[in-house]
Amino acid sequence: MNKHTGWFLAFICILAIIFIVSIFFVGRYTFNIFELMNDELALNIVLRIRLPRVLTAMMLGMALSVAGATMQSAFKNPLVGPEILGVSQGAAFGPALAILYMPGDPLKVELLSTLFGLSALMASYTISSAIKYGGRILRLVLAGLAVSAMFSAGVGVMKYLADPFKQLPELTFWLLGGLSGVVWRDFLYMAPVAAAAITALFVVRWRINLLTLDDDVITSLGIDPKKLRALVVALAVIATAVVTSVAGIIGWVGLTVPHICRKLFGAESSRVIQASILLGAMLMIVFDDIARAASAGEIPLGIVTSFLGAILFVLFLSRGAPHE
Amino acid sequence: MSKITLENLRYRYPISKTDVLRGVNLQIPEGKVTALLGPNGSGKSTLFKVLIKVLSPYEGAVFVNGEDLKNMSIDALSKIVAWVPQEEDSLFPYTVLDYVLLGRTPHLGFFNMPSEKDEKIAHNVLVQLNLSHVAHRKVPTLSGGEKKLVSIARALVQEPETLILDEPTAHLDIGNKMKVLNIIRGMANSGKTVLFSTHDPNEVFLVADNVAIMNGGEIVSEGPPAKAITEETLEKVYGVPVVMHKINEKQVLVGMRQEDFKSP
Repeated sequence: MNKHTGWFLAFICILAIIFIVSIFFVGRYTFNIFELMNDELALNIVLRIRLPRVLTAMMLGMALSVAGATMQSAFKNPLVGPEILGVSQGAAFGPALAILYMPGDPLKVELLSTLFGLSALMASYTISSAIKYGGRILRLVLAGLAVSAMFSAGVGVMKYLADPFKQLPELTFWLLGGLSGVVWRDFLYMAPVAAAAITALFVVRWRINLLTLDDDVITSLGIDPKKLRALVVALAVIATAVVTSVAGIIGWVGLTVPHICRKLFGAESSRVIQASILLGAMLMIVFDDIARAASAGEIPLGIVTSFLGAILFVLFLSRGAPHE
Repeated sequence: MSKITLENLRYRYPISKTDVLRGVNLQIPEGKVTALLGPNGSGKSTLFKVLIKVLSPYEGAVFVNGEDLKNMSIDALSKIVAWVPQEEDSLFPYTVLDYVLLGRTPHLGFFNMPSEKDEKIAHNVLVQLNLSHVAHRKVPTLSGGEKKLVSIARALVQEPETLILDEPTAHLDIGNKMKVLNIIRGMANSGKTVLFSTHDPNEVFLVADNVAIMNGGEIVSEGPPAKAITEETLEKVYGVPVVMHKINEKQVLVGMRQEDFKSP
């Protein structure tokens, strides 16, 4: 067993412990775990509220982290995350539209989210080739900023048009990001697609390394860089969009987790992706625990992840030698 | 071993109005070192990119082992030809071993990861190039010379029949230059076909069996270095007066006459 396998096994154990603790011990309602079978209220809370919520948090963390790790490699840029290329804002615009005009249908929310997430990415790509400033990567990031701003404006319009007593609060809370009120139905709509995208990225995790090389070198290794990039980025966008459709905009996890994993396991993408899936799941469950149990009222998850994610990002990147 | 034939290659970059390659004809014999000599901007790198199918010529053809490159997939080509670019930079701090293992890509299925056998091949190449002591170092922490050797190692891990190196000695000190030239010679001695570009005639004399001198997208002279490289050709191609010194009837050194150092 090599050093990395040991780490991964430890990660899996920690994830299992966090999972169990979050389901049975974190929350405002406390109960005796040995009496669970006799306590109908506790059983209901565990099975109907906490279990789907913790599972959703786990999937959310996995999807955002693996999407971040993939995009950073695919765009040869350690600074990109789902939010930088306009994907998050695009994926948020779809559900905003749905809250106003098609309320109460999770499948439509998910579809619109994926559709707008993908179109935001394509818009970033198309606009980047029209920008006549800087190199390819800088152009892409600039285009992503512009697309992100456009979709933010679109969300702004939705807010302006929303009914201030009913739709606006719903939209605002949704945009802050969070998992309060997540039920089995939300999880079951989102999980198959998210799991399929995560699994597909996991399967091609070693190939994702290639995308960090020059495109000409990739071609000389017998791989079409455009096709491989399009495939993995599409998978990352789908993963991001479906979880965003349930949880809203959850920032900083997709950027921070892959960086922590690179610090711990090196740059090689199969290890980064494996570790990102596990660490992303762990961190998101813990963040959501904080969101739902740290204060008397629920703190929106997006606020917790941005605050703690940014702190972790700075902490990890300022430790150790450069390139480590 | 592979043989490459170039027939009347013409290439033009999309936004440009002039050809970068203007009807290039060349035979690259198998198991030999062929050098492509020419000044900066003469079309050497472009020619190499045509050979690895990054660029497609609008006229002419390339034949690899008799097969037209047009009908060959990049996957099939990558099992025969490996390419070392002039410069390579990655923002991702791979270890040397992880990095050279990427050279195994042509031999791995889409869903496969490198096996122990692949790692062994990578290890052997690192030993061969005297890099095994840096196997677990991160590539960005290496010196310029070591980085170049790592690029070459990745290409060798590809186990190609033909190795194409684009100005492999650029920016290297004389020690690293000699190391790289030694590797080039050694590859040909072990049966591989090697094609490399340079703008230094002395390097051609040191290791090449054949040379093609390129200028303005054309091959202006080719053959064994001693015959193909003359003072007249070099003066025409590089635009400065040069002098060639023969040492021991064998090695040749290209330099300038003292009197030519006066202001132009």
